[in-house]
Formats: sequence, C-alpha cells, structure tokens
Amino acid sequence: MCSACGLLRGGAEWIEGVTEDENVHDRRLAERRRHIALINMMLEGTGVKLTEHGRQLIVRGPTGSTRLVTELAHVWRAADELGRRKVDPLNLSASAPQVGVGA
Amino acid sequence: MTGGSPIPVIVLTGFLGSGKTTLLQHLLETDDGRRAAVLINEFGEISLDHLLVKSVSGSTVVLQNGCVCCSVRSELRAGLRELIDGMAKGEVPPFDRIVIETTGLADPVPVVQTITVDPMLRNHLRLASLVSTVDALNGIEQIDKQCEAMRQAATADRLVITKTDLSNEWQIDKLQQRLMKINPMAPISRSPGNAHLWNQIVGSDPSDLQSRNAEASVVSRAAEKLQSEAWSTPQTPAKAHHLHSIASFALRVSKPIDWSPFVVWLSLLVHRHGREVLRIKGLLDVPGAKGPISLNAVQHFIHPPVHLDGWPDDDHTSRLVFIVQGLEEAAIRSSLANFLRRANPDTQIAA
Repeated sequence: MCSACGLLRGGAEWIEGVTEDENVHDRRLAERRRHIALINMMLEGTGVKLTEHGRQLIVRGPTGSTRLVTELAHVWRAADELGRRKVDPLNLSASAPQVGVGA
Repeated sequence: MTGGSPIPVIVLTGFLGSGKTTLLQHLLETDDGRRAAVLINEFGEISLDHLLVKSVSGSTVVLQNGCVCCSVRSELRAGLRELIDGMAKGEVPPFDRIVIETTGLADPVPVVQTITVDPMLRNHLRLASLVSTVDALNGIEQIDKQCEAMRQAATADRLVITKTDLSNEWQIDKLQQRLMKINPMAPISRSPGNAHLWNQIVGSDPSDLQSRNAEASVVSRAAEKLQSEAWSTPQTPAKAHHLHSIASFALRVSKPIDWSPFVVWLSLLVHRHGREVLRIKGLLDVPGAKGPISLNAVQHFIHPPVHLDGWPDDDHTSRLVFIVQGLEEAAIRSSLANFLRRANPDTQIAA
C-alpha cells in the first residue's frame, strides 16, 4: 500500500470522489469509471491497461500478465512491474489528446 | 481496544542533539504529559521517568505485496498494538495520546506508514502531527551541512526551536526566519518555557471545526507569502552543494478543480516522486463539495481529504502549497495544468 493509500482508506474516497451529491451511488460509479479512463490515459505508451471486474481492478501488461489490485494506489506499482516503461507525470506530453472521460 | 475517537499520535523528529528527548522530558512532566504513552527508538543519556515509555528497535519490514514506500516498522507496529491492547485490558494506565520519538537521522515516512497502513492501527490511531525540533544554537549549521536536518524541518507539521534558554534573541530570530523559508506552513514554537506546548504540537484534529479552520488559515497564509519572490527562493544547504535544494511554492487554479483528474495526477506524482515531494497542503474548490476540501500530503502519504465548512478568507481560489527537493516548480505546474486541461480546457494555473 503506498502513495494514496491514506487517502483511500479502504478504497472509497479516492476512487469514488468527494462529492456530496444526493445520488451518491450513481455518482460514485461514474467517478470510478472516470478515474479508470484517466489512469489509462496516464498509462498510454506503457502497454498497460486498467480494467474493472466488479469491485476489483485488473492491471494487464503488454505480455498478458495481470495483477489484481483492490486499491487504486496499487495500480501505479503494478504498472511499474508490468509496463514497458515507468510513467512519470512530470514527463507527460503536453500535446496528448484530451481524455474521453465523459463517464 | 479503544472505542472512542482515534488516539492522536505525535511523531517527534529532529536532528542528532537537537533536544528531542529534553523536549519530551518537559512535556511528560506536565499534566497532559501524564496521559501520554511514549515509544522511543533507543534510550539515550537522558532518562525519562514515565510509566509508559517503551523502546522500539529500528528494523523496517516491507509489507507483503508492498514496495519501498510501503515499509513499516515492525517493532513499532507491535509496540503500538501492545499499547492499545494493554489499555483495553487494563494492563497499562489509560493514555489519550502517543508520542513516537525517532532517531536523529530518521526519515519519518516509515513511521507514518506504520500508523496509516496497518488496519488495526489506523482504526485506533490518527497521525496528529509531525513535530521536528531544531536547536537554537546549532540549527542553522545543521540545516546547512546536513540534508537530513533540512528534510526534517521541511517535512514537519510543526517546528519547535529548542535550547532557547541557552541562546539569544538574535540567534533565535535568525533561525526562525530561515525555518519560515524552508517550511512556510509549519507553525514555530519555542522551548523551554512554553506552557502551551502540548496544545501547539498535538496539531489539528480533523473532527474539530476550530482545528480545521486553523489549518485552512495556515495554508492560505503560506500561499499568500509565497506570492512574493523572496519567499520562493530555493533553500540550498550552503556547504553541501551536491544536495538538491529544497523549495516551496504555491499554485493557484483559477477554475473549480476537477477532483478526478487532480487525484489521479496527485497519486502518480507522489508514487513517482514521493521522496522529493516533502509536503503538499491545499485548499481546493471542488464542484459538488459544499465547502473547500483541505488536502495534506507528506511524501508518499496523502491524508484523507477533509471537508471544510467555509473558506478562511475572501479568496475562494484553489491553492496548493508545495515543499519539494530537487523538483522544478515549472515542471509540476506544467504537468498539473496539462492533465487538468485534458479534462477541462479552461483550466488556468498560476504561481
């Protein structure tokens, strides 16, 4: 458990956002999918992709190897292990396309 | 086990000889101190006459499926569990706070991880404050020569200038000015002779409205200070040019900040650069939240976000204050701006 694990505190806050919207369930589901889309945008070029299976998150590398992760903070570590390169937010291309995160 | 609010944990750091144990001795002699349990790395020359002092050795383990930043202090974990279990069983006197004194060269992050990662501990404890002692006589020299001393000051929530009785006002003031540049977000206290020291070092309680508002004001003031060039000058140890400099700076996000891309970016930033990102605090205007969101991160660890009832002043712009070592402000600003713009093309980020 690392990086955002304190923020996660079991997963809910980090992946599902901090909204105080009345339609909490739908909103959280949408936020979760949006997070996944954003993470996959970050992971472009590494050969790694994040998908969800129920409540679980699956990180799949370019050779087909997978890691099950229960918390979003684990995704980055799994991507480091499986990917062709390590993604660095300070080296992201400014010209990258906008992410399709319309939930 | 305890059934009430989480017990606040104060992590006491400070360079070798900076007066950690002497400060602890003073604290334990007070009424509040008699309700404290203490875990220390090693018993030094100064003995602590206190019922609840335990020694923990310095071994560190990596959690199963863990990485370097998941290191936890196994003996510390065992010591904390024993304390909590012991109080629940009536085997140790009741305590309402825990102080962990680290060694002088310690990186506090494994200690923080220990408290926040362990499922049992994180239900019973809360990280209240990282406190660092700085010696009024030798503090500036230690900061100049020793990278660890500067990192401890930069990482702290609160700073305590020690040995003020052996120093003069000019020296103390000079050190205070230096510390404010290294860590503009940490309130600075003096010891000895400070009757309110416990209150000052226990830190903010997220469940307490007054504490939350005080913390928000700290971030707001720090961001304001950092607007001027003098406050954003990198602090390089003068006699250790091989070391990367520590710098603090503030970023402002003109539009309400989009939580999802922001948190994805933040989590990756601290995953990849947690060693260099010493502190981040922020007040964020997040759509859907009734008030600002207070953000607080120390290296790889991000505290749970806290909802505030209102802003500390008339400025309702999202502000983030960073203390970093060896990272460029421009790179962080550009990276955040680029990622937020993908989600919202109107986003503007200013220094």
